[in-house]
Amino acid sequence: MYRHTPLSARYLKHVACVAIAATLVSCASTTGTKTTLTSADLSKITKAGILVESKHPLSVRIAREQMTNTGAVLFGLVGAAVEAGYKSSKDSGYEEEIGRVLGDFDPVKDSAAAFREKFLAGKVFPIVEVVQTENARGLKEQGFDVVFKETIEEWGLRLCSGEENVQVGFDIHAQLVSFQNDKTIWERDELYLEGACRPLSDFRSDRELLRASLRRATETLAGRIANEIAFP
Amino acid sequence: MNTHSHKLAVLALLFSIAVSGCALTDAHVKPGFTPESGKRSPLSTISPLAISIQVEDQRNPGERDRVGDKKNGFGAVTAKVLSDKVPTTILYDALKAEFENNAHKIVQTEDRKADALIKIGLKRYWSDFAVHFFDIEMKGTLDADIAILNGIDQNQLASKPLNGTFRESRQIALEGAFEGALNGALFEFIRTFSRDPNILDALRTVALQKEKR
Repeated sequence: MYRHTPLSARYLKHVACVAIAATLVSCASTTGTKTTLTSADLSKITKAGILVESKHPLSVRIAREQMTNTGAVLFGLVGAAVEAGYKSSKDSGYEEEIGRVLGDFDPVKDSAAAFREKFLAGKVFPIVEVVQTENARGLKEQGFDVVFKETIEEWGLRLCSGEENVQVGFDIHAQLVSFQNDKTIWERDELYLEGACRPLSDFRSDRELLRASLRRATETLAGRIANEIAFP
Repeated sequence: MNTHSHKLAVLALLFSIAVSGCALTDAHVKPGFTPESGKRSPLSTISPLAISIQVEDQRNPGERDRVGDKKNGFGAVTAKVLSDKVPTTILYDALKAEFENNAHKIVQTEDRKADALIKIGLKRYWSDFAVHFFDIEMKGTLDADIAILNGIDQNQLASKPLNGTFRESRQIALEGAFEGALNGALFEFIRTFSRDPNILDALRTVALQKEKR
């Protein structure tokens, strides 16, 4: 016999289940170029603003990259939550330790400066300035045609594919928004990995290694994105 | 058990047999790269060069027979993902196509007529997936060590690890999903290669040295 439960209680149960599941899940964005720029669009741009944002501090993805789903298979949502929580806390320990050796590296400031340099050197846009706001009205009044916006979703160290070592990685979302029609005219998601895979202990013991690797990654990624825009 | 429940049980059994059948048989994939017609990369800004490409298989010996694993919910491997073409050939063909699409010529190393020699150690070409609650995250990876040498004096101009990573969210992961991830990784690798500032600088140096000769 089907047991009758008040509708509101059943409804709440479903909402709770969906909410728990949603917090445990984050659909991965597909990497690659989503919106391609045409040469005609590019030639119309005279002045571009650069805005870089970072949602999180340094991240170390080691345990989270080794999720097995065993918890989910055996104990459903609760099992998955326990496994995810355990792995996340393990990574947090690494993050705390490694974060201390970062020194003056600022992904937002360093990335913005690197983009400015690469866009100007590659003659992607004639005038380039770093901006602090994406307010279209204000920027338009200052003569900007577009704003290049990079959102650093995650940055730091990631487990190398198929091995126990780690390498520097930037998970970014980049877009170029035109003020002419308030439309995104170029958009790309990228998981950029840089440099050789090394044991985590190398980054722990050598303070300069992580800083230098992050700076190199920032510069190469900026150069690569400049080429992506110039050669869609 | 009533007839309705009976039917449901039979359907569930048939479905599980079908799904396990998919998971237990090897997948055959044909990854490849075709440049987008009419689209040039920054490689086209470098004066035409005669280029020789060498790709060496430096993958983990335990992974050389395949380009991915099918796994069950516990993470245990159930079958292999097999490529119809050898990964080193796939990478060679992709780079050849990209260079030729940008007005460069590919020559054999033995002919000793190359302006630039590109040595590649293929470290990994792999497709994988992670099961989430609402989707399956497919991942493709191509890792390689690249060295660019002047073809005349063999002077090394650049050397770096390069990576092509692709990820995609899907509702179901059949054979096509593995091929899609491998194609995506190869595509991203070629884009990274042809847009990497260090690689472009090295090839520009070769072009300048060639002009001076």
